[in-house]
Amino acid sequence: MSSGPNRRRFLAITAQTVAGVTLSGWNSAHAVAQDLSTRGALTLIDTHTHFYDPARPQGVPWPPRDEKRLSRTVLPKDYQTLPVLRPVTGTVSEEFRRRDAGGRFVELRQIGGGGGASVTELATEIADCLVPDANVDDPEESGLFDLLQYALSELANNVIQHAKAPGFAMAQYTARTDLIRLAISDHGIGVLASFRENGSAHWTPQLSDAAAIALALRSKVSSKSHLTTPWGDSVNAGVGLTLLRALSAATGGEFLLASGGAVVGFRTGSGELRTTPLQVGFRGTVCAMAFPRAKIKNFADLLHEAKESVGLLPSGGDFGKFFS
Amino acid sequence: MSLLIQLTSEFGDFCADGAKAAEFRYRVIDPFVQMHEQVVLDFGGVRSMNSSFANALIANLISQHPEVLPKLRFSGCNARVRVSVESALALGMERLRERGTAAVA
Repeated sequence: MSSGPNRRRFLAITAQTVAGVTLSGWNSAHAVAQDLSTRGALTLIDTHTHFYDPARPQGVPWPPRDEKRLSRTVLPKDYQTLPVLRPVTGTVSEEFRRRDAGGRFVELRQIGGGGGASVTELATEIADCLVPDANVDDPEESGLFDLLQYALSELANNVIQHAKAPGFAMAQYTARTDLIRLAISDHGIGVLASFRENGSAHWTPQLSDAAAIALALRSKVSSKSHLTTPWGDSVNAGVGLTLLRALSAATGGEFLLASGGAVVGFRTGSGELRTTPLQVGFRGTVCAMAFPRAKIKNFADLLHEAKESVGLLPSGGDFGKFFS
Repeated sequence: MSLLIQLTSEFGDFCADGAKAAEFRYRVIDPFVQMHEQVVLDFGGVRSMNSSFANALIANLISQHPEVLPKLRFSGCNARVRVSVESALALGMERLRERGTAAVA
């Protein structure tokens, strides 16, 4: 018969230990644990330990000094002398200290789903974090900040309008590649289902995930463009993703949209959309973009170029009479 | 008589939430379009605006109230804001053309 643990043996040991604690107190539990340790019945690994020494000259970030119960030296040698924990034969130390972010990162925040971050706050916080030295008063210096604010806010609006589930955003700058990367993901209904559930005229039973994504990237096409708000407005103009793709192209960046069983995107130097089937489908939607930091100067010029390229700003259009 | 709407007092320096723009337009602009000779949207103090906001506020205002087009003016726009305003104007006017609304001409 195998001497290894099995379900019946595990339950018996657990019951014995629980009985020791509840019926005879801590000493009995300790005795049971010692007995088990001696017999080698269990190898216990404590996966959550904190080691710290409040007496060190520079202090410790945690626990607070006035927390008398916790503010004591707890290093491995102190841990091992705790009699009740003697049966614990190993630990996995968490190499983690929660300190002030100091502008180096923004905590993950939820988009949509009630109680989520506001679109404006989310986009501005992340842009501030990635471009902390942006001179927002100089359009020639604030291009990257403006682009990030714009892209993140449009993607967050999409999650709120389409996903029917919360989403999350992330962004990162890597100096080695000089790329700013950002992504928003939600675990919602996905692009194809959004066309179907909203009764879009674009939906057919034959519509694939890849075709639905390609539709969503077309100018003035949205799964909700035929719907109206209670105030009679068009719910969605269907230009958000189109423009983000155009902005990526205008900066020589990258763009990717994944939903269901397909990924559609393009890489630097190629304006052609490339579709890749996913081996494992993703129920929601992921949109990711990358921009080469050095190429982004004036956002107004960039946005103008992107809008013109997708027919959202008629060239030669005379709007001067509207401005004062 | 002019209706002057200062966006920054309601939305700060970044206009980004399309749903809030739609609600604002319905509550603060729509009821007063008929009774004013001019409707001025003042973007002074607004650093940036995305397309969702611009289209919800401007393109939808034009397509819902074609009569606003001859009296609509924009002030205080920096270059970033102006691009989005012009694009929203183009979208609103395109919708009117598609419907054959005379106000565009």
